[in-house]
Amino acid sequence: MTQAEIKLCSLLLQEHFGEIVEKVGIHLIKTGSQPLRLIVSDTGTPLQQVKKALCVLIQHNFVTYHLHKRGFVEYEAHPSLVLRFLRYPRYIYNAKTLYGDIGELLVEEVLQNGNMQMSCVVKKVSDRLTETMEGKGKRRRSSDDDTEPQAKRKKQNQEDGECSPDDGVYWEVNFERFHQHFRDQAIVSAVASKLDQTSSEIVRTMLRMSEVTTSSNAQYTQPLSSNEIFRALPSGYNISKQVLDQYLTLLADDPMEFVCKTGDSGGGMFAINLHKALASLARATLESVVQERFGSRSARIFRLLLRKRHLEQKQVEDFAMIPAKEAKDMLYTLLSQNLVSLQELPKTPDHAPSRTFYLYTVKTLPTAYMLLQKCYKTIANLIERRQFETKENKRLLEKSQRIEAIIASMQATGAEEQQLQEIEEMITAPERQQLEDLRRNVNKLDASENQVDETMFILESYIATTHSKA
Amino acid sequence: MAGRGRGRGRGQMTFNVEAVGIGKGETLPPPTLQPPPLFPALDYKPVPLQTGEEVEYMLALKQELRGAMKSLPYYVKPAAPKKDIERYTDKYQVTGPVDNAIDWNPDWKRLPQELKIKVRKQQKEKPSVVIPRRMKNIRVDKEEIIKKLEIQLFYHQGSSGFHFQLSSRVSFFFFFFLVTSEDSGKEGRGSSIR
Repeated sequence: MTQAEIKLCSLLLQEHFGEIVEKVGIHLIKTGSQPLRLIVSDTGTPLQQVKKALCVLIQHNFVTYHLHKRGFVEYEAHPSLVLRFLRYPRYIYNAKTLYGDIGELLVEEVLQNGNMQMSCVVKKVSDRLTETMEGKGKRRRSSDDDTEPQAKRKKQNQEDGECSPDDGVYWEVNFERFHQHFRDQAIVSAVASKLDQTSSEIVRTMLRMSEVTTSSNAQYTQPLSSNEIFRALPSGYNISKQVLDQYLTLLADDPMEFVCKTGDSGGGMFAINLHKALASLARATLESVVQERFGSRSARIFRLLLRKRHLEQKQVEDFAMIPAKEAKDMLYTLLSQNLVSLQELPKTPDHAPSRTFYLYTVKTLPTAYMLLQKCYKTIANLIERRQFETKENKRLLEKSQRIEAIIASMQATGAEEQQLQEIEEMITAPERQQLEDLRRNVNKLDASENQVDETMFILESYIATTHSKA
Repeated sequence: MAGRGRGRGRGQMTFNVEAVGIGKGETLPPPTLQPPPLFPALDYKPVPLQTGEEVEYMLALKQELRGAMKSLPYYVKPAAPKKDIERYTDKYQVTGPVDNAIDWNPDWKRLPQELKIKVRKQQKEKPSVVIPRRMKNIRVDKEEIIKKLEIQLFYHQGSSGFHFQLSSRVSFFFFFFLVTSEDSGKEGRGSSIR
């Protein structure tokens, strides 16, 4: 685990679970598998507290345990699952768009509790719904219509329980399926922005058809024939078969290479090249990072190097059509930031400097990995800044909360307008301004975290598919 | 051998400088003598954040989630620090977790046995716990008092025994009434503490 990841995990655990859980969790992340007594002695926390922390961590699937061959239990932490915390709002929002309010509440409950029994979840969600709907009377719904394969995955043991009929059956959120969905969304929007709406609809249909047939790490979807695609198109789209064929040919010939033609049976077999799609998305992310940080000319050099793989200094200047001095300057800046690397190609066996080629190149996988670490550091900085801002204004926040509570209680007991106004004036105008600024800053920092997480997702998916391919 | 080249031909590198692109006699940038500044100046300002309904909704979700997690039983609060002096508020405010129990009920079959901790049962109303004991005490007291009264009666048996009996009954009832009101008074105070 890198330092940036550990720092981010520590901040997330501390924010959501408190300091004791954070201490125990970080210790496990840093040192790998450990038995209970070692954790107690190394972290210096009392045994009871460590037990509490471990129970919480195991409940939320951040830590797993296994029996060591010497007979004691060892605990192991999984930091990648802690980092998923940043994506929880996205999961909940997607559940809402796909399955409505009930889906949203279900996913939220299961995410907050790690894993739960179905009866428990259903009861809690129905309670929340009755609260908000004020007696519309939604009783304990059977969640049959909500057990989508997407959101839940069953645990193995089925034992006879005490009171609840489904004791021993626990449900948790299937993150892989959500990730597939996000990946599909990203591909469809990329096609829509590059080509047009219809082609994106075709790609979306193809992805939907291969949802259940392809595993999450697959390189290609299953080949689909053009006839199948035509039948599966949504009813709103009245394009003829010929037009569909033309679109498919267009997609297959596009230099993006998202869609490839794998055969001619059934009117043409087409598959979506998931690995290439993710690679182009990651590449586009890298290019846009270079563009925003170093300017469009540096971005031109970067794209050139991505295209032509290896180039000499002179060739870079010529192809990019940038004057030599500036091109050199930009190349060195990129080199110092490790976005571009040098490759030595000796002409003679004795690597003499005057007789070797020095070629500039961009290595996408290491660069993506480096950018991912930078994302972790960015989010850690954002969280720290937000905590700092809140701590600075703690007194003011507490005061405003108390005043709100007073106003609410007075309104409940029926107070005059003048009294309420008097109490509201207890917060002076500059204080109000300060509160407003604080709120705006905190919102901005939170929104930035969400946005950085989107970039993180694309880079992580790219790295995952490349590793599984290699 | 160690000192060769120093002072003479300053700036010579092991590789052919021209190959990388630095021409002869060109001025190189000054050497860096300190770590880069903590907040370097930005040449290109960052792009503004995305806005829209989705973004706002996810922002609200995130903040709600954060707030909700703090109130769930999974948030393990640090143990109350040891107090140096006994403070007045300690009698009336509960600070920190009282004992090493957890508030939620995990499935112990899915956790290793060594992690088993006491689960804090739902707190019953304090008065209902208090009263039976006090009632017993008071009943015991009452028994004693009745005995004492009867002993006194025996002593003062006389022509006015009947009157004494009546008055003792009255005083007994009066005493009983006093006792129960005291009890309920205590009960009232107990419930206000909660």
